[in-house]
Amino acid sequence: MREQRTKSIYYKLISLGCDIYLGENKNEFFVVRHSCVECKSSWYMNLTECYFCGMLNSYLYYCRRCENYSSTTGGSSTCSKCKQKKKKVCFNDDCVTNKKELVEEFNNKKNGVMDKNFYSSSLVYLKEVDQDTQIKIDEEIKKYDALIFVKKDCTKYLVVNRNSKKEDFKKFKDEIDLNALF
Amino acid sequence: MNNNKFPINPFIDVDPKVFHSRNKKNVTEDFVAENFKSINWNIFRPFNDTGIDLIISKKVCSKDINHTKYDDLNLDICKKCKNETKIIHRFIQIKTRELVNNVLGYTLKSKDFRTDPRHIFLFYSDHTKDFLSLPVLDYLKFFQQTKISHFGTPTFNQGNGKMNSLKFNVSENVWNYSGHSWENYRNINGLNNFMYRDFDENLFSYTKEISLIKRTLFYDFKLGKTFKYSENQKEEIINFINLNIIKAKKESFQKLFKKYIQKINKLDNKVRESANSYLKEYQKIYERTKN
Repeated sequence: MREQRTKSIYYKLISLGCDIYLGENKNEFFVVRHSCVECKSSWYMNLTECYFCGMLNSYLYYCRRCENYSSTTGGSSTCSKCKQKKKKVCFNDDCVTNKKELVEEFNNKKNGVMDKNFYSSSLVYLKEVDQDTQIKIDEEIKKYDALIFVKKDCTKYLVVNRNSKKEDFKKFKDEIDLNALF
Repeated sequence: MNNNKFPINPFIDVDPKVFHSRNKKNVTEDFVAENFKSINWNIFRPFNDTGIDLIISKKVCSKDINHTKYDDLNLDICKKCKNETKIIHRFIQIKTRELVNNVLGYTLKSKDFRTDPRHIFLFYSDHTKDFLSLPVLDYLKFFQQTKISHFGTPTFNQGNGKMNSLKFNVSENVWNYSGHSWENYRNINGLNNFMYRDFDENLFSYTKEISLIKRTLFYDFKLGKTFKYSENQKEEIINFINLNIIKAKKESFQKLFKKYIQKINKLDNKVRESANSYLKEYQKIYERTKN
């Protein structure tokens, strides 16, 4: 398999929210997705929330006097109407940080910490096949969590795991099936 | 206490101490990876920038993990009881710093604290050639049990918390954190500590435990030097955090997210687009907020 195509598959998986780890053996790699323990959807450690109430960061400036929000990108940090300094405040009006008597003391940007997450991971073997190749799964499936077959010069993918059925081996798809991967 | 066998210097042509902050990262990660390889662990290095510097795996006895030694070969059958082996994984985050006045200073941000018990913090002291490795659970428990302040202000959550209490006592050849021994986490002790754990089998119950400790430690609000509230106001803030974060159920966060969408949709198009542009990397959230 050409190095360029191998990298192309890695970047495809990265675009789907996965991380790639390379081992010692060629065509073998470890794919990891940081996920919610309960629903398995992607978990974002960089996402910032209010420390005090958990509200998502709006990434906007707020002028308390004029009571309006504005973009933080490219704009000035002072309000164009009243010239007062704009602040990055919690987007939740009911948050304790927006309470009149407490508001002055609070800093602007707060990160949050979140709930339960874990690493969904699979040891994967990547194989490029010709258009008309019949897929046969041999002993290799015992060693890996999943096999990814890609068609040569074509964006068609087949993910096979230990639960895959023989009749599915012909069903190449337009996308990499992450559910079969993890 | 120091064991000469692990870690070794796998790069015999160069002294690890000669690297400086700008060219240290790669050699450090390679140093750690080669060390695990030398004791027969499989290693996986990141292709992209992920926050995890190394994944290591090993085949251990599926019946009794104590049948497998940390440097045993990866065999399909246990040498001792002839049962099948199973694979365990550990996700290593490496922190390397020079010792300054025998202190290993490091920074950990709130985003570094994953709740997967297999996540390991590995502090590598290149001057003493020591690995100090702790599973995230042990790290959190250490601060919970010793009551050493580390997390309990919003400042930590903003990622400014430089830690300067991990010290090497040269005369006694021991590592301490604020006077508490870290020898159990040093080199082979640390390796055995994170290897002989049932993290892989009981993943979900550990994530729950870590999540609970995180909530207690991270949301232990303190005024510190940042705030000058009265005792009553402090109490009010603590109660608010208790209600809205510590004791909150997932439904209340879902409600909050709906509130966010309702409010953002009322804003001017340009402002809304600006806010949404920051969420592009969080695909699932972006899909729900962009329209």
